[in-house]
Amino acid sequence: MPRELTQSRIQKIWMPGKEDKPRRAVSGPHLANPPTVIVMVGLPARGKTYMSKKLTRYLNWIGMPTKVFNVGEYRREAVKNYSSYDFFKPDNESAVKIRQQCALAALRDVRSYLTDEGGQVAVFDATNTTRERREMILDFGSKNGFKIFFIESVCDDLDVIASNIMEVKVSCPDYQDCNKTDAMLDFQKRIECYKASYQPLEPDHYDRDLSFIKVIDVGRQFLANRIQDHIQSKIVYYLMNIHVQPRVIYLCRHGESTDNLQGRLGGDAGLSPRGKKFAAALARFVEEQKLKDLKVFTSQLCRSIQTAEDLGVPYEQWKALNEIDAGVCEEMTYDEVKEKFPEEFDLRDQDKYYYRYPAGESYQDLVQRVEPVIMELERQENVLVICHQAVMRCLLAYFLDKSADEMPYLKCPLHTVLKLTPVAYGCKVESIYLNVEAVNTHRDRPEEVKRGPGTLLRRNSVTPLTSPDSNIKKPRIDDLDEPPIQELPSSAAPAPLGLCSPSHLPLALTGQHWLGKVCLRTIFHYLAVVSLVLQRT
Amino acid sequence: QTPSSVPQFCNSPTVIVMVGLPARGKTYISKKLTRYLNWIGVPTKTFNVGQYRRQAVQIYENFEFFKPDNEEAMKIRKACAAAALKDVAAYFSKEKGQVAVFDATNTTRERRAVILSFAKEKGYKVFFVESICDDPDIIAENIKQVKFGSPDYVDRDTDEALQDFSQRIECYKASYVPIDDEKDRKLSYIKIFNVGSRYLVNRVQDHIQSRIVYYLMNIHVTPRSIYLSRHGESELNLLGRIGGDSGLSPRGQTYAKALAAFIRGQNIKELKVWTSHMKRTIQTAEALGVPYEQWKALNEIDAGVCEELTYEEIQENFPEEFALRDQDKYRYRYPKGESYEDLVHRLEPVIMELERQENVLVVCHQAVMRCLLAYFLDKPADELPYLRCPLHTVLKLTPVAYGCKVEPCCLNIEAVNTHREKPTNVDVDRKPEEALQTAPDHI
Repeated sequence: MPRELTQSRIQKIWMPGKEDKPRRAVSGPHLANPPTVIVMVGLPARGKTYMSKKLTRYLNWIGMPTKVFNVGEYRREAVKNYSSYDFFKPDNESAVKIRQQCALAALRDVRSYLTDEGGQVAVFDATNTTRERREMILDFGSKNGFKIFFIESVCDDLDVIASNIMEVKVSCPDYQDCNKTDAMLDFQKRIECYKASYQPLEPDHYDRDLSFIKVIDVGRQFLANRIQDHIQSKIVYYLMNIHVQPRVIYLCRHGESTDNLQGRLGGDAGLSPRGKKFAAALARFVEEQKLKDLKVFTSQLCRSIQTAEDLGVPYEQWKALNEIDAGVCEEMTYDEVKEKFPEEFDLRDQDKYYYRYPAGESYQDLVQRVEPVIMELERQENVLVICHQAVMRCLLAYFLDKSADEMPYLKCPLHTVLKLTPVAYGCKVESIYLNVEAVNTHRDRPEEVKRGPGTLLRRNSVTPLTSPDSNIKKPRIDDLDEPPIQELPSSAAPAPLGLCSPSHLPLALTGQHWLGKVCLRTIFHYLAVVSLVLQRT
Repeated sequence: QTPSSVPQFCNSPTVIVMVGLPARGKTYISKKLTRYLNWIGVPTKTFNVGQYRRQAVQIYENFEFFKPDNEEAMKIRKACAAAALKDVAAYFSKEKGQVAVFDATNTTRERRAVILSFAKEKGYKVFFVESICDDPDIIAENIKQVKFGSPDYVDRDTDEALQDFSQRIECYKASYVPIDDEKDRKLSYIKIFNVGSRYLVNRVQDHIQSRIVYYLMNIHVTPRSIYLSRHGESELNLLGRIGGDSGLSPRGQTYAKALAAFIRGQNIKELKVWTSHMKRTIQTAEALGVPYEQWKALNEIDAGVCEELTYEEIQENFPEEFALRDQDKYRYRYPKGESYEDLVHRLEPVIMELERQENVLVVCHQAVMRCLLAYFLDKPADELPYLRCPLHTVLKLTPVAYGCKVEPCCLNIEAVNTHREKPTNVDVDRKPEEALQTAPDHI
């Protein structure tokens, strides 16, 4: 007897049986079964943390719960004051012990994340430059049923290394009391400490059976060995498409449309008079930016193309950038939706990320649809994307590492360009209002809404999460005689779930947060680098 | 230049240059890559120098032709390569091609230098694909699969052919210089080791090269089968209505059970089952009693304003649209809906995952199945929308040699016909009877 199917009310997914347990089903298959530990390998200042954070942001955005475990942070927690590179000397026995314990503590948290907290990918961010250390990790993986995938960054270009050090090392907490020159010198000596014992991955001999990718010279060359599954294949593809050339991404919506004026959703209307003014203002703005080789992407909807036409430069139309399909609610006003489909209206407010319009799409569907655009944006340099409210929210959530919960409520007003510049480990955002009035199309999260099936993390959940903050509240490692990892009891406090509390800081930087001893100087340094996101309406 | 639903990937034409000893899978990769690129809308063509040689030298005697000291043969071989390159240039300039795959051994630096300078002169990009393999079992299997049946050996018995071909390979070995990671560091290339256990990728220049690398890293040669089937007959099928999200009719339910029995009978190792998000495919999969995964990307083509209409109603309400669709069924997009071209773009991740997987059963829909089938059977855009994918028939696809064997398995459960051929008159001012000439029957 075939089982009866019911369609879930929010996601409109057909499932057998009654909808008593809402399932966070995906728009695509579950493609990572055993959890995976990605292990970074490389000398300091080779971009390991950069790649760890970026990859984590990408995987979380496509719905794969991922978290970075940076052993350096564990070390900073254990050893409150960093004095000098002497700590990293291979003959500094007490330091070696501490560093070992930190790695074990981090692995303990990895296990907890992957086994008990619904994580699917853990990124183990450390140098991992010796075979001995990597053997220990492989052992850990096989004991716990985790797949291990290594990402090694190899680079001997002195300019690149110096630039990395300047970008992210001289201002890190270790060097808060140093001037830049001293910091640079100390860090370079730190690197030397690792060089002697560095055993790179050897695809021809020792490491031929391992799964890994070697990234050589910041992406000039890649060596991929024994890619096992879908997620490793996607990771390799992603790493091969990202680059570190300075560039700017501009995101904006089409100019105000005649449908916007009437408060109608969706449709394919043209620009209103004010919308046309915006298109002209956008053209002037782009010229003023004096960019080298700007690529312009639009959707295939009239209002987006009309906005691009004024620019007088070639543009590419992507159907994938079309606005979210509101299905049966297309071209209705919110009042009409409330009147004709009151239940649907409520369901959407309960869970706006997962809610799929009848015969339409959800934000979750949008993320899948827009993913090839993200991949192309990573490949490109200067780009202007002229799209739509929901689509822009998806793209913005990717660049600013926003969770599924926040994404549908990100503010993307008409006639405002968001200028995104990659910096350090994240993205600087500048909001530029082009001084042409427009209606407001933003609907805030309703206060009185009873939260629906919640954003709890489930094992096979594909809730895009903000890359979770590292768990700093670990027991301090005073006692160097702590037993090895196999005998450690389960961790005292589980790492906080990746729920993103609404940011009260107007900062959009997705860097690390340093708790414990707050380094004001460091924070101010970053504040100086980041513009505040202001709304000038 | 008509805007397409996918952005233009190539600016300058690209020459993909295969490199490797004989029987390393170069032609296999060339043909598969060409098929994939054409399917995603990048006009691509393979130029196999061996074919030029067979044209020039009508009869193949033996491996001595390939001896490095055979001067006369060398002249002919060089001339063939030059002729092929000339055709590459013509393909780009006159036939609007975007990618040419130059399929030859190209095992010497000298030959590769000739190609590079040809490309530089014309403004073409060059991307090398080198296949390196020293596993004797793989090589023996390759020879068995594709060489014994080649025109060169059509009159020989297999032992003789094997002998001769092995000596042919030896002729190339002495002068083979693989792409050098130091000397060739400025070139763009991918080296494939032992059928994909390892890849070395150098200097990917642009989008299309990135896509090519991703594709090459996802394909494999492990034997497997792909089963394509539509959902069982649905309620709307019976009424002759397109699209919608209805459930199975009684006959459709019978099909689902028959499909389950059929699958069990095939004794497939570790079968993955995929459906769309539409009720009718899920109901069909439910009968199998095994886990299945739902892909929204497998949903039927969105007929926009024509959803749930019969062809008669479409003719009545949208006669012009109906005619336009018959004029160019591949590119035609329903108002507020999709085109076959959009579908292909939407299905690309499904194809990529199918390449990664082994045994898979895909339960989908008519237009979707046509797109997938066109990919596997290398059908061009103008044939794609008219491929026959009847209800209640499973197509079993098994990769073999350079292509795909298809076995249709009709499970003998009656169903309506949903196939509409292109009518004779496609003008917008045609009469209704002419428009509905080929519409299938329904209740």
